[in-house]
Amino acid sequence: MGKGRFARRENIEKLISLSKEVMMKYTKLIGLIMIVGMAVSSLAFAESPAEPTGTFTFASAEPLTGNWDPTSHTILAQINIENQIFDKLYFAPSGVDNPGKLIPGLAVSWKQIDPRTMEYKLRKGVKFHDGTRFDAKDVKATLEFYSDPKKPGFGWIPGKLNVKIIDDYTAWVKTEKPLGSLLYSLGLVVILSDEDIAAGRVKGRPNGTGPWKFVRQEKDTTILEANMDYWAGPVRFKEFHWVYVPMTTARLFGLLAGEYDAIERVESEHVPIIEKDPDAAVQSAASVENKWLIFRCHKPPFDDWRVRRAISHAIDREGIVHILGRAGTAVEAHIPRAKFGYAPTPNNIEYNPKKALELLAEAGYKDIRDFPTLEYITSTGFYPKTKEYAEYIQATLGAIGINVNLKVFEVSPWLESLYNPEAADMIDTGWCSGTPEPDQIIRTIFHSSTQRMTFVSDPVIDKTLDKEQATTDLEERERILQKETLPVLMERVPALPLFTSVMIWGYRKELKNFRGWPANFFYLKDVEPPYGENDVYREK
Amino acid sequence: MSWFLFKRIVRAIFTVLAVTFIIFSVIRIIPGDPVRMIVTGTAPESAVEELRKELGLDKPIPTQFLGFLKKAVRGDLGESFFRSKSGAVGMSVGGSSVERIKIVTKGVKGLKQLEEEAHKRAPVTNLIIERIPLTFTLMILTLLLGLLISSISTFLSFISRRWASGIESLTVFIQSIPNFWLAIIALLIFSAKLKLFPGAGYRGFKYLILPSLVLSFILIAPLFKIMHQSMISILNEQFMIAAEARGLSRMKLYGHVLKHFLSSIITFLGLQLGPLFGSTIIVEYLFSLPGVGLLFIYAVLQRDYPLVVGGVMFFSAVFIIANFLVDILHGWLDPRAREWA
Repeated sequence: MGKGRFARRENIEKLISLSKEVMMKYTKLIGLIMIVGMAVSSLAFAESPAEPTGTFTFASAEPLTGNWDPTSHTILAQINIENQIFDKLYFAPSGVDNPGKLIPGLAVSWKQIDPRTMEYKLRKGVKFHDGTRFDAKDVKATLEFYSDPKKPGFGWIPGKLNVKIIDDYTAWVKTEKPLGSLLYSLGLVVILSDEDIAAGRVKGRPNGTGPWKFVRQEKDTTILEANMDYWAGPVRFKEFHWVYVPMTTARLFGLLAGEYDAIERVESEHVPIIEKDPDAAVQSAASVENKWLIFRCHKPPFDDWRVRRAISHAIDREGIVHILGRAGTAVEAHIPRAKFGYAPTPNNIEYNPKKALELLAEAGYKDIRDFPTLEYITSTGFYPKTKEYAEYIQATLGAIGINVNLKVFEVSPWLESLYNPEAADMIDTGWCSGTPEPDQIIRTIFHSSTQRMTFVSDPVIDKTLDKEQATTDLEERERILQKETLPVLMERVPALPLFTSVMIWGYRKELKNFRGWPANFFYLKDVEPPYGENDVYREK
Repeated sequence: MSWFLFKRIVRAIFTVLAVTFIIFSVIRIIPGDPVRMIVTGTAPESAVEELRKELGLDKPIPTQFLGFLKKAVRGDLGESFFRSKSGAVGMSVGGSSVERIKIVTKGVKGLKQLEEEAHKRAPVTNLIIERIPLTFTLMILTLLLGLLISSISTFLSFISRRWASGIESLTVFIQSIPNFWLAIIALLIFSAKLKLFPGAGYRGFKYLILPSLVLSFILIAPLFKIMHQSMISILNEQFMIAAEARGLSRMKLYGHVLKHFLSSIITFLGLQLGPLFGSTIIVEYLFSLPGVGLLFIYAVLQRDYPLVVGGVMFFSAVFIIANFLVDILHGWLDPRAREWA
């Protein structure tokens, strides 16, 4: 380079030129480095998903069975905890606005191949808690295990199932006859590992694909921990403590004191107490459970449907709903609103004592004094207000001259009486199934092949139930249920639907997104995509 | 003394057997079918009958009782109908403290054994043993609190006569409150509203304070009365006046008072064991404390026959042993009692 003033200018020009040359030459490289640097730094500083923290404690009103085989029972509390540990093919929120909605779970899609075959495409990349892969073999083993007619849980499944494996993630579920009820019924089935079924480990070993893993049982508390490999992402809590607390006041005070994060089966008179508390709140949902007044249809006087209808007209169901307060809502069909196929029946039974007496006269009881004294059993200690509304039923029947001998039993003797055909003329109970499938109520209770509680054997009822069950087209099936089946049931009334239970939960306000489902269970993990947005978490 | 002991032991064994047989029979006669509660609503009749046979409930009651006795003499009280062993041991160390002890002592072999047996029904003895520490802690805490409050009340009552009648009225009022009502009020006020004590359940020693306070209320009034009366009568005894006249030091005087005093307290506490047990069961239920009492209530509600009978045997055995020890202690403290026995 030169020296002096001109040399300096020359040097500067050379420097500028050199710089431009470097820039031109290395721009692409510099640009690439900048891009890579930005990408790396964004990855490094990106918000990592929140680690599960803390414990969620739930107080249950019902005990667990101590047996992890889901086909061995029909206990709601056990179903609820199984839903935490296991997954299903799909989830059914059973909301009153869209009862037939299904959310993909272990099945990502499904379709009817023919009237006896349903195809399921399964989710890939899912593992059981013991690390084994979930695939079509597990679906085959589970469905065939469930549909054994000797099992207590067989009543939930519409018939014997055979599953054909097409490939690792495709299964065909075949039925012996066309079954329109298959789709929603399978919403109750939790998927087990085929290895556990084959090894006979199902009873003692809850090995699922669900968001929670079983850790241990400590006296009356069942302890679960978060499954960090859950296919929809882990839950926001580290541990889930499930505590059996049968006393309603103990559950209530535990919630108010902050011992429990959520409680179930809140009594309606406790609702204002919770609502007054600054840290607790109440949530309720019209459930999939109807309360029934069961008539023993196999023996007099209820072997005559006119007598059943007459007694139903003499019962003030509106008054019963009033007694229940927030724990019940009126029902106008033999299935609750949260079930597929619900519609108010045009021949819904209204409170009409005069009509009751006319029907009784038609049935041969012109003088009401000739009508026999009715034996009526109700329970105490589980459902809300049973004694109160049973006494009201006794009073309203007494008002038209019918004597009712009311017996109030605690749960165990009541349950024994429920299935004993010789125990009482009337008995009340709830019946609930955690799917939109109406057959899990109406077929289970009213078809002559099941002979459950009502012991009814009526060809008219059987015919309509068989017809709707065999219809695989959903729209057509819905039409048959609404126009034919439900009206027939309301006319023959083998059991009177008293009301639909409203499930009431209490929960701590610091819990965000807590939502009880109408089937009386809940998920802490949001199972609807996009996953994670509505997970339950504790706001600090 | 040994003849005294022998008679007591024989009487105790017959009492436990008689009580057990009565409860064994009554629980099977009263309405309520555990088989239906296990298999539930949709089970076919064949499943119900199969389970009934498996549980031995198809046999006559005397046959069932003999079968139970044969196992009971070996320390085996049978298995719960509803509770399984530990739950799921396959993936983690499981359940009861008794099971965990087995794993620790037997190592890998123990763990494997538990894994194979996880689905089997839990032994009644294990279920009761793991809950004994909590129930006994609750009862001991109750006794200590009762003694403390009564002692303070007795001391205060000697300060002024007006205080004495006031304290007596208060203790009678406290005793007349039903403990189930008191428990609910205590939970509502001190736990739910004021948050001074934890709520229902058990997650540590502090969960026992409010329940034991509630339980101690059944002891305070009678204990205060006995303490107060005992103190007055002992101090007015001729030997006490003579001892004081002889110039014995205060410490020696108190020593004499204490021996007589303790004798009446211990006798009273022995008599209170039965009602205290009954109240403990209720308080455990109300506070959801996982002790033997709560286990017993669940067993009755579920008709878990082996657990009911096991619970009854446990309570009657503890009650008899405790009274037996009270007799021995009383005899040691008061030689006159040995002569009467």
